[in-house]
Amino acid sequence: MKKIMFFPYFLVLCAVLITFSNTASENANSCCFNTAFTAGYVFKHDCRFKEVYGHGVVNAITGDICYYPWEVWGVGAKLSYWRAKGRTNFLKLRSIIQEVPVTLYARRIKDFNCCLQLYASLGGGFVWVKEKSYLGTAKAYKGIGEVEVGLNYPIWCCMNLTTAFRYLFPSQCYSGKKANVGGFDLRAGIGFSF
Amino acid sequence: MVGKIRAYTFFVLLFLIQNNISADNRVIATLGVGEDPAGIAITPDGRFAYVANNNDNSIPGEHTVSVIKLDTNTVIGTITDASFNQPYTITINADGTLAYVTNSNGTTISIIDIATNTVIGTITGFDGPSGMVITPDGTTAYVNNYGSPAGVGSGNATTVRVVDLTTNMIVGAAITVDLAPASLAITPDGKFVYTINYVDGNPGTGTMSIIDTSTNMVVGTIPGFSGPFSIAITPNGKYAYVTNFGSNNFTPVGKSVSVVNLTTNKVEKYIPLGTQPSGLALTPDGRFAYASNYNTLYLGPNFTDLTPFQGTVNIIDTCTNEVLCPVIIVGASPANIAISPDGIHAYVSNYSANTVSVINIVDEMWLNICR
Repeated sequence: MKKIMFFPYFLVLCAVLITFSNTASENANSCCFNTAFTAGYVFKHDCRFKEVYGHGVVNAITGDICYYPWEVWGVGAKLSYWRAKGRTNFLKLRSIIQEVPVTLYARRIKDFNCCLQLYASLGGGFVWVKEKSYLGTAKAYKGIGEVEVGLNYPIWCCMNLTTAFRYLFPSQCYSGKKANVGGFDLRAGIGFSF
Repeated sequence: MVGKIRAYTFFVLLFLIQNNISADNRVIATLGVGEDPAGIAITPDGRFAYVANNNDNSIPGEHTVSVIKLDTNTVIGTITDASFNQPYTITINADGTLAYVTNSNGTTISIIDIATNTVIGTITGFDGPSGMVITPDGTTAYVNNYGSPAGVGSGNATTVRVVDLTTNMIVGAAITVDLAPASLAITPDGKFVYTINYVDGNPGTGTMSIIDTSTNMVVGTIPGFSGPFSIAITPNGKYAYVTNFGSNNFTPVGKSVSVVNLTTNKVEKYIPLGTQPSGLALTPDGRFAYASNYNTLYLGPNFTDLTPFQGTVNIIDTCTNEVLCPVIIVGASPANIAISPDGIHAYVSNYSANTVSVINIVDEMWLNICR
């Protein structure tokens, strides 16, 4: 049900961004925007996380917008939603974790003759974490950093395929035990350049 | 020796396969205590546990109570006293100053001063006392007379006695219940005492008597138990959990826990468990029940060659009344369970192994520990 509810918001967001992209491309030749909507997996390497959520893979979707005021250099923002279901480590009762990392980044792109576009970015932000089980609900806000590399491949008009590999590197403590809220984020999706 | 190990391993595997369950060994310590440890109780501050060593064969000098220091999980003392006669259960008062030991092969209850770990007196006039509860105000106790010998076996008494703890004297007339009241529990508001009556241990013959503490009269009897052994009442006073151990001849064995709705006074559910469910304790929040499986059977003809197989502990989710996956492997013939006030550890007395297993029962999600 929640997944179904997400799609209208996603479509509205796409429509707004596409409209915005047309306006932007008409009005500014020297500026360029790139947006991407991707889905994929986050591979966690925190041992205690794996005890509860298995192999540390969580469902993830990400929205990303980048503005290039200096040709190959850009700045952008990224919002992700991660969700995983697991079981508490002893009694094996249901537990759910949700993470929302929000980051700002600087990006460098490189165009290849085959139209392929490679980029690398470095940024930082915060992550909101909520975990819920019969034991109760735990919430936290923590700072994070990220490095990312990705590829954009144009497929039609302003649309392109995009893949990205990101590493988020926070390591924080909760209740005296270290909990690394980051991980490797591997994802793919559709991007729009305008 | 190797053959024995192989045999035990075989039976453990057989038990696990039969029950389609996975084992989780959370035992963090195994402590040697006295002969045939039965009842176990923890002081309200969570610092000490007292274990009644039942000494079923009455070995001279082995009628004792062991004292365990819980922060280090070490046995720091063994209390001996002439008044001890097959100590069976221990009840500690609310302020943690006194421990009451039922002498199941005799007629008394011994009173231990926890500050000095010495016996400072006895309460007399019982018949194989096997359990005791104290009212929330701390002034009155209810003691069940199982008849000698206590525990699993042929109880022949049918009464519960009321004790004035300010004078340490029995008061009032005996309250008559069904045959062999094995254990009892009191509701959190102190209004009712529930005794479980072993009767002959055969399927469906056991009963539960309801005593109104304002009149000290039996106001109801609930049938349908099978050799009931232990009882625990949830902190909200709505349900009682009763282990059905089974016959006093160890056959047919019991394999369930009864859930009794204390509002309707009816058995609401039978939860299938391991072989011979014995001790039972609830976590302080009442969310889970820990029940031990005694699993000790006669292999020879005419009740000979009593053999303890692998003792285990099952966990029941009291919200769903379902048995959870982890099965905890403990020592031989686990008889009783006590859970620390902070809900972090469970202590299981292993009757045949002469040990106490310490179980870490902390459950965690990822970010923090909440219990």
